Parts: sequence; structure tokens; C-alpha cells
Amino acid sequence: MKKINFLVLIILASVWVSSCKDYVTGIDPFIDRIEDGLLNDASQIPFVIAGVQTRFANTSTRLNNQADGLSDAFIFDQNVPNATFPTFREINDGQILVDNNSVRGVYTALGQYRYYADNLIERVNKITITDAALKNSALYTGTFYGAYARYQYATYFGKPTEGGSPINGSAFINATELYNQAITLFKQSLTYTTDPKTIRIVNSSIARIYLYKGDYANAATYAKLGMIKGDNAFQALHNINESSDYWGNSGAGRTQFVCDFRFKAYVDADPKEANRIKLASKLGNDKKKTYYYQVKYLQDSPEDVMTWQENNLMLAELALRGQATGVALTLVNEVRASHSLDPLTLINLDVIYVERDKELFCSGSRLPDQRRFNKWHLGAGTWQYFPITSDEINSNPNL
Amino acid sequence: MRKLLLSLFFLVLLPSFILGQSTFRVKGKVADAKTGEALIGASVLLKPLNLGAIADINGEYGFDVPTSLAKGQTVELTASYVNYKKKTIKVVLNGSNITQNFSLEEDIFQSEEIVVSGIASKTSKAVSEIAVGRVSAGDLQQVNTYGGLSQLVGGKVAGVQLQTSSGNVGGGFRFYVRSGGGINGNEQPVIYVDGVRINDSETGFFGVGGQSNSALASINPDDIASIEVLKGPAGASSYGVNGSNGVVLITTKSGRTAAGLTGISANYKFNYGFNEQSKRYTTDIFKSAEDANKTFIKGYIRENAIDIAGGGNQLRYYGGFSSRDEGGIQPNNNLQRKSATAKITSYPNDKLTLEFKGTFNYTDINRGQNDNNILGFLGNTLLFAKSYQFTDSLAILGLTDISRTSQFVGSVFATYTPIKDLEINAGFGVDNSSIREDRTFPANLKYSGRTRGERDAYDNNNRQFTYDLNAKYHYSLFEDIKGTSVVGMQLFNRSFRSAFVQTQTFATELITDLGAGSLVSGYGENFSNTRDAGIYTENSFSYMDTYFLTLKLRRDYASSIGAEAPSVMYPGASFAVRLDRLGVVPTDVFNLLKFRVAYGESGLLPLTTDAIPLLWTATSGAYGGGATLISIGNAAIEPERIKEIEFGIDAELFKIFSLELTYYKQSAKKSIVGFNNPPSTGLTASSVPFNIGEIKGSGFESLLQAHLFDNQDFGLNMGFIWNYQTNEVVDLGGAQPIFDGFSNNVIKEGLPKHEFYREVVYGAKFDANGKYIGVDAQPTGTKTALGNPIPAHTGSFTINFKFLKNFNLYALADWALDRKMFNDTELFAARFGNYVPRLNLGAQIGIGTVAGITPYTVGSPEYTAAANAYAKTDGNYAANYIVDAQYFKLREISISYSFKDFLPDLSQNYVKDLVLGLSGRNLWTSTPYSGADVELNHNGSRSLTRGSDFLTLMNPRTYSFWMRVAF
Repeated sequence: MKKINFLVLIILASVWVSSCKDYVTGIDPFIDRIEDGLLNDASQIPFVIAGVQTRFANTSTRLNNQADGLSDAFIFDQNVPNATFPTFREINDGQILVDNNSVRGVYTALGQYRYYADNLIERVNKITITDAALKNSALYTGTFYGAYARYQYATYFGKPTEGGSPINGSAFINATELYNQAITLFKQSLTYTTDPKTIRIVNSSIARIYLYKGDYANAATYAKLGMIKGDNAFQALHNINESSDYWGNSGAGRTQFVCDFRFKAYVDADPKEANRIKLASKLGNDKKKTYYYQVKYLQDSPEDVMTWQENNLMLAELALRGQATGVALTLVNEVRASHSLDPLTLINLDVIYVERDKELFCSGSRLPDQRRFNKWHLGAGTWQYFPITSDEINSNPNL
Repeated sequence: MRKLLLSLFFLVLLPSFILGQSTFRVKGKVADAKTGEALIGASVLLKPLNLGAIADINGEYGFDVPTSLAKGQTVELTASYVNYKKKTIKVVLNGSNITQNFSLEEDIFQSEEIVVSGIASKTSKAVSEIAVGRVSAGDLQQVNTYGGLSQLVGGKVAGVQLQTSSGNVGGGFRFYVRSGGGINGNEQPVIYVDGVRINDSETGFFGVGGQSNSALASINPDDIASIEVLKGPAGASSYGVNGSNGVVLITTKSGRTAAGLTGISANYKFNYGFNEQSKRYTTDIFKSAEDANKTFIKGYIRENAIDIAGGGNQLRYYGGFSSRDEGGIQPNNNLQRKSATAKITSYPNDKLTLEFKGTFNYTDINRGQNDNNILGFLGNTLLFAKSYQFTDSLAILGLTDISRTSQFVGSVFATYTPIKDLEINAGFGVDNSSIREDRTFPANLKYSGRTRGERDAYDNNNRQFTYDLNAKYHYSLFEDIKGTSVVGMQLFNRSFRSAFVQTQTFATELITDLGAGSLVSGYGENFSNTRDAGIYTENSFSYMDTYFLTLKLRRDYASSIGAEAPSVMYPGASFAVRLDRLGVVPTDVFNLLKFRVAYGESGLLPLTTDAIPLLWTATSGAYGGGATLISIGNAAIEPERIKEIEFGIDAELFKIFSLELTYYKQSAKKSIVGFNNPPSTGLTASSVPFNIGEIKGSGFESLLQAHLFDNQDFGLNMGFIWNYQTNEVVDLGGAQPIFDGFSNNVIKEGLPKHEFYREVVYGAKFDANGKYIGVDAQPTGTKTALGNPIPAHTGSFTINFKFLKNFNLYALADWALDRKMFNDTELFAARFGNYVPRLNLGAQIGIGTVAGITPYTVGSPEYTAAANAYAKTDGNYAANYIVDAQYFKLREISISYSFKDFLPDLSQNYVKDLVLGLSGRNLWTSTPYSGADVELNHNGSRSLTRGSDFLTLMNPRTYSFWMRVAF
């Protein structure tokens, strides 16, 4: 009897082993995530392209906003209601710790969209896509945004006074090399599009890199092929889910940063400047001091990344630097006219510097401009770039 | 329903019909062996006839036995009484009346309590081979009143810490068992209620700054009869992957427990009390202290509970209903809980036992806004010298976040004994809970980031099913060797669904439905399903009732195990010897002396997606849904393996003391640790799980109980718990330390888990003239270990003093030593100019002015000292605010009076007892910590962040007046 009982137990155990395996593999699938291999299909490529663009927009708005915070465009003052983040204060002061949470977030997001762009190229090249337009669209997206990410690394990150960053866990790559990589990718992207407007956007983007590099000849070459009056701006798109960080941290959503008071002075001096410098006011916690924050961008506003106006200003500057053939004053006044502003009568590099300040309000351009024009506003030893973050330092053995 | 009631009615009355036949009587008296006092309520049972009675007020019992059942056979007559050793006497049934008196001895060690010894095994405490923590919840509820599970466990189990995160009513808490198990994971034990694995997660979808609600807040503590805790793999190896952080087994009341043998008993409990601010903020710390103090209110507690229990030989039942309303100590934090439970145990024949149980809980919790939050009272009154700079007080008052939980916990268990010594157990249990959370920002009030109000709605459903099947066989290998073997299977299936919608911009605050918001600001959905399955065997042997050995083995299969590890095997073994039965110790000193040793293995499983290299999700941006990474896995991931060995001695001394000592050592390898890729790789959607590292932990736990005296008028019982634990992360595989989200707590080689690890401030920097020019701090990139939020030493002291016959005083005090807290509240107040010590020091060195303070001369010793102190209050350095946080708390005190002596005359025995009590909780704390409460964590109860107080609501002081009536 005992033997029979034990036999029953052993049989039971054997049956249970096999049923356990079946049981645990029968789970219901996720609804909000898929494995990588399922994207290796032409029908999924538009979904992948949108992912690159979405993360690009999310990154750019945060990066540009923080760059304006580091530059003299925005200020952080705890007297402003809801201005509390010490990370923004660090940015404002140029005393940025490597574990600054705000910077860490943007640096991580930038890495993600760089990866998405490079991964898109890799994916498209290993699967069969019979629709040539779709394939070109994917390769254009991968190369264009891959280039743009490298441009942003070089322009905004690095050491206190030197741009650069690792890419994909590499050693530190300086800004010159990153800019070169970006230019190469931008040029590749031109091979995947025949749309004249798109081509002009790419050329303007290349021109900007050369301008920032100080290679004015090449900058002029590409700026001349760049955006022209009437072209729609190339923008980063936002909606309620992926909203503008200018709205979220320097606008009506919350005002960690407010605008430097000179922007109010610009508008006071010429009320028509309000057409491009859109401000709203807010009383400080002391109920005495009035601050001004940007309302150019609301929660779901598309944000300008490259405009024909910026291309004009580049051409004007390059003309003044002896490289472009246009008339600087005419180019600048075209830009001003687009905002119904009266024409200027005098042009020089200082005027260009100010016009860029006004025209490129809320675009992250002021930070590289201050460096280019040697007008750094903070003391010695302050960060003119955002630091490579502690996350990278802690986990990248090549640094 | 009518049939059920009729069945119940007849089953209850069945014994009466039996008694109508020709009978003889079994009677006698049950008394205390030492004092001779009557043991009122002692039960006497005749086995195997299952007839019996309860001793009356004189200790006398008596019951009639049908003469037809007397066939000259020898049967067992057993007398038992709570906290006394039961006594069994053999009697012969020949139809004559039997008089049998009993003298019972106190069971100081509770050696006859049945404790769990494995997943399908139980044994008496006298021979248990493992350390099992036990809370006699039913006994505690006789002398005090408890608002929830956390209060029932806290300070009462050796080796188990219960840490609340805040003073939020219904708020989260976490267990910390022994030295905390593996390197990573949330360290929480798995929790079963009557064999059903229940959801113990934090709930609350919309952020309120840090705190979540506890799913366990729905449990009605009045239903709980006992709580047992298996503290680690040594005892819980047969629970497999579920037992790596211990197992908490909650047993609810049943008819058997409440009613004795036959008849009906009922209890009614009324509790009225209030919560209040336990410590006032003071103006020597915060300039705005009085503004903060004004935000506190009295939160009233009203509770009514009734239960009924009874039954006969074929059916026993328990039913209970309770309603509890509890207000928090700030507005917009309260709890309403209604709970109804029914438990029926049926014995259709001598081979089959069936148990049916169902509990409905309806719990509404309004969650307060505090912690890392600009919408809460504390954030608006403690950061700045001028209050309400973020959010207006009316707007804070207008904001509500209400979670409404509907929960059903049900189970069916069957025990079938087809042949002698073979027992088959089968069970099914379900915990099905749905939560609806509504957060409302009224349109007529101003909130940062919201234009004309917001309405957020979140729904979820969590279903988890537990299936148990096992067969148990008792046998004798030789004359003195008895064995029990169990093989069993346990399945678990959890599915979770949720969806939320948020809308903003309402035309009027009077209409707040989602559809009235003109702007959809957020929406989403989530679903997950996990399963695990385990087969196990437990084999127990005893030799001469003196040596005891158990061998266990479990194999686990789980949907969440990585591709390279489809299953995992965990062994366990334990041994005990009753030294007092070997004649090697004097038994008049050692009434019981047992040595035990146990070893077991367990471990955490990888999460469901850990083994999948890349998972993409859709992010709904302005470009349409776009593919973005959500998870990065590791195909080679394997389950963790935690090994634990424990040695223990259990003793009962001089019939007065009971002592339980346990030393344990834990070692976890292959812990699943998430490593972060460099951000420049772009593969940062999640950390990447790796099996890496080793952590070692050890500790000592002790429980000393003393039953010093007990007579008719006076009785004194005391208990003392002392625990020590330590652990060290031995190896992280060379990887970088793992920080919590705020970079304060670290998991790092050479340090205990969760250690505070920040840059230290040495003092001030001075210029050539001795003028303060800044902070002299540890260079960026280097940090110092600053202590741990998990205390090394914990303990408690309880006293239960009966005096003047019917008065009872119960008190519990607990403490924690060698512990740190991070006072982030004071740090931020220092940053924002509201921290008075820093303002005063600043004024002393000429930074700012404070009335009555004249600056010292630059370069003077006073100036230098003030400057150094000023540097050590700099709010840019967390280390300045990581401070000593040992404490001693008078946690519970209750005095009660029983009117039972007056009742027989007044109520003709309809009312058996009436007890009035007055209780207090958190009445007094001694600690060097200057913050509001030494037991807080601003980031809830599951994150890596530990021991951090950032605008966190203090635990309340509570007073309760209660009444309990037994019928």
C-alpha cells in the first residue's frame, strides 16, 4: 500500500512538471510594447520614422530652453513664482554639477534620438522595402536627424569651454569632429530627397554648422543654397503629450526661467518687436518686481528649428565677414519686414548680434552666439557648455 | 439565500436534537494548575465523538452524550485554554456519568501553538525547526484597538521591521525582514490571507509628491486571528521564488476559534478617536513654522464592527462586518473602509473538509498632497519664509485625489482523506480588486501648469488567482521514526489592466466630468500578465519525538524567467532537537529547550521583460504614434539565488520565561541588478538587468517573554524583542554604484545597502583676512558613506498588566539605533531662506541680518566657528542634513476595564463581557532628529529612496476610546 501511495505521488509530480511549463508560457501578450524584430517590416517603417521625429522634438525643446537658461537670454530668480528647481539655478549661474538632473534628462534624450536615427538607417538597410519613396524617406530621416543630433552634441555639450561628447559609449569626441560627422550625414541626407524646400533646409543646417565652426567660406556656400524668403520654417512639433518645454518651464505652464529684462526693453523701445518677442508679465513673490516670460510658444506650439529668416541673418553676417555676396542690410531688413518691423539703416556685426538675439528668441541660438561673438556674461570658470553627465561618466569606461 | 439560512439554522440546532435522546453526562472543572483558579471559557472536547462544552464562570463544564454512542470504547477527553498547555485524559465510555477535573499549566512558550513549517506543513511550536514570527492578533485586539495591518505587525515580530512612509491615512508601508535579502528588488515578503496570495503593491496612479496608498489598507484588522512570518529562505524555501523576502501568512478568524465547540458567539466593537499633529513645527527651525502648524486638524476616527461566529460538529461559520471612517491630520486625507466577510467550514463526512471564504472590502482613500510637491500644505508653508508662494491655500484645499477600491478576496479549500494517513488538499483563491482614482483641480482655482482646472480619472483591475494542490502522506519508517511527505503544486496568475484620461480647461468648476474639459491632456492604457508555477516536496521525519528533520525541494517555473533559465530549483533542510527530552538539562529549569538549525535557498525572479533585448512602444507625439524604446533586456538573465542558514535556541525557563534566539546569515548571488548604459548609447529606456554581484547579511533576533505572575486580581506579562542586522554589498562585478533617484542612497561595494553616500562639507573657506568665502567640501566625484537609514538595532518592549481583577494595562515601546535620516525639508528651507539656524549663523558672519544678532569680527575665533557652522548648513550639500535618527517611541498604550463581573446580574448572561478601553498611539518619542517625524520617506514605500524626509507628513498621535461587547 505504501508503495502504491508513493507511486501515486511520483506520477502526480511528473504530470505537474509538464503542466507547470505549459501554464507559465500561456500568458497574455502585452498591448503596449513589441519586440524589436517586429519592426523589421516595411509597413512599420513610418512608425519608426515618427519615433525619431518625436524624440527629436522632445529633446530639442528641452535642450534649447536650457541653453537659453545658460545663456544671457533667460534668468532664474527664486522671486519668480514657482521658480524652485536648483538645477535651473545651476544652469543660470553656469555652475553646473555633473549630476544636474535637468541636464541629465536632456543628455539622455539626445542619446536616444541619435540612436533611433542611426538604428533606422541600419534597419532600413537590412530589410526589403519595395516602395522607393518610403525607403528614401526613412534614409533621409535617419541621416538628417543623426546629423542634427551630432550638431547638438557639439554645440551644447562638452567641457566648460569646449564642445564635444562621446557617441555610443566612445571616448570624448571634440566638436570639430562631431560637426564633421554631422556635415557628412547632412550631405548624405541630400541624396534621399528631391524636394527643393527640404534640400534648402538641409543646406541651411549645414551652413549653420560651418558658421559655428568659424568656416565662413563653406558657411556662405551652403547658406546661399539654403532657405529662401517664403519657405516654411523647419519646426519641432509638439502636442499635449509631448509639449513644449518653453511652455512647461519658461512659460505659462511654469516659469522656472523668465526672460532677461532686455527683451522687455526691446519691446518698449519698439512695440512692433512684440511681433517676434512675445512676452507676458508675472509679479514676483515679493509682490513688487515684475518679470516677463515668453509666450511665443504655448503648450502645443511648433518650435522653429531652422527658418529662412535665420538663413538670411547668416547670409548677412557672412556678407559682413566678407564671404557672402548679398547686401547685409537688405537681408536683415527682409527679416524685419516679415514681422512688420521698420527697416534698419545701419548694419554691422554688433547689429547682427542683436538682431539674432531678437529674431532667434527662444531657439537656443544665443548660447553659441555669445561664444562666437566672445560675449560671455558669466565669470571665469563657468560652464559655457553643458557637462557630460554623471550617468555617462559613471558608465562609460572610455571616458 | 433562504436555503442557506435554513441549512445554517438546522446545523446550529442539530446538537440540540441529538441531546434529546437518552444520555449520560460528562462533567468536571477546569482550573489553573498553579493558582487553582477557574479557567472560564476553557473548552473540553471528547474525541473522536466531537462532543464537548465550554467551562462556565466557575470553570465547570458539562455535556450530555447519547447513551447509544457508549460502546465501552476508550476515548480522549481534552481540555484546552488559550495560553495553557492542553491536557488529554483517556476515559472509557460505558454509559455511566463521568466526572473529570483538569488542572492546566500555563504555556509560557506557547509550545502548543500550531505554526507553519512549510508551504503545506504545520507543526507545533514545541518542535518547529525554523524561527516563525507570530502575532496573536486576536489576543491583541482584546486589549487594544488597531487601525490596520501595519499597526498589528509593527514592533511585534523579532527580525521584522515595519516602516511607514508618512502619516497619510491609508498610506504605504514596507516590511524590512532580517538583513533585507538580495542586492536589489523591493524587499517585500509575499502575503497570503487564508492561503490566498494578495496584492500588496502601492496604489495611486497620479502623483501627489511621493506617497501612494497601500493595497493592504483594505484589510480589516478585526478579522485577523493571527499573523505568521517566515523570515527568509531558511524557513520559506518551499515557497520558492515567492519566499526570498519572507512570507507573511495571515489567518482570519473562524467559527472554530471564536465559538469553541458549539453555539453562537458575537462581538460588537465601537471605536471613537482622533488623530492629531504629533509634533509642532517650531520657529527656531522654520520662520514659517506657525503657518505650517495651522494646516493641521484633528482627524476623527469612527469605527463600528460586529462579528458572529459559531457552529456545530458539521459546520462552523464566522461572519463579520466593519465600517471605519478615519480622518488624517491635514485636510483632504481620509479613509472610509467597509468590510464584510464570511467564512464557512463544513465537515460533510469524516473524510472531507470544505472551507469557503469571501471578503468584500470597499475602501475610499483621499490622498493628501505633500512631499516633493508644490500643491501641498507642507511644500507651501515650510520652504519659504513667506507661505503659499506656489499654490494658494484655497487651491490646496480644493484639490482632491480619491481612490475608491472594490476588492473581493475569496477562496475554496478542500481537504480529502481517502485512506488513512493520506490527505489531499486542494484550494483556489482569488484577489480581485478594482480601483477608480479621481483627481480634481477645480476650474475656479489656480494651479501651476493647469488652465481652468483639470480632471484626471484612472481605472484599474488587478486579478490574481492562487491554485494549490498537494498530497500529504503520514507513515512510520521504523517504530520510533515517523515521517510525513508532501508533494504539491502551486500556481499563480496575475493580470493587471489600467487606463486613464486627463482633461483640462473647464468652463465652470460646478461641472467636473471628464467630458466637460475642452482639452484632453493625457490618456493611456496598460496591461500585463504574469504567471508562476512551482512544484515542491516537503519531507519531515521525527525520531522519538525528540529529533526532527525536514527536507524540502522546490522547482519554479515562471513566465518571467529569462530565456536561458526556464526553471530554477531551490532546496531547504532543517533540523531540531529537544534537549530537554534527552535528559542533558535540568527540566525544572528548562521546561523546554530546543536547538534548531535551518538552511534554505530562494531568490528573486527576473521581471517579465528582463530577458527581451529591445522592446519598443508607441509615443503619441505631434508626429503621430512613434516608436520609442521602453525596455532593454538581457537574454542571459537568470534567477537570483539567496542562501540562508539560521541557528536557534528556544527555551521555556522556570515556567516563567520563554526565550527564542536566532542567528542567521544570508548570502545572495546572481542578484539581478539593473545597470545603466551610457546615455550616449541611446539605450537608456531602462536599466539593463545583469546577474551580478554578491551581498552578505547576518543578524541576530531574540524574543524574551516573561509571565511573571497571574492570579485572580493581578497578572503581569512582559515581552522584549531585540534585533541586530547588518549587510554588506560584497561585489557589484566592478560596476558603478546604483543610486536612488535622488542620488542619496547607494548600493555600492563595501557598504550596506541603501547607505547614504554624499559629498561631505569639511567647513568654510576663508580669504587671507579670515573672511568667509564659501564651502570647503569634498571634491565633486568623491563621496563619503554617511550611515544608513535602515537601523542596525531594533527592538520593542511590551507589558500587559492586569490589576484589580478587571483592569488591564497594555503598552508597547519600540526603538531603533544606529540609524540616519536625510532631512531634505530643512535642506530646502535653508536654500530658500526659511531655515532659522542658517539665517542666524549667516547674520553672525555678516551674511544677511537678523534682529538682535551683531556680526562677529572677521577673523575672530567666534567668526571662524560661526562660518564653519554656516558652511555645514549649506543647502547645496545633502550631507549637511544627513543626521542621527535613532529613536525610542511609546508606540501603543491602552487601559481597559472589563465589566464581566457585573454582567450576569444585569444581562442574564446574554452579554458575556463588556470592555471599555482608552488607547493612545505615538504618544511620546525621544530622538535627536530635529524633523517632524523620524519615521518617514518622501518617495513612498517601494523606491530605492530610503529615510528621506522632504515635506513629508508626520505620523499622527492617536487617541481612541473603544468598547467591546461579547455576546
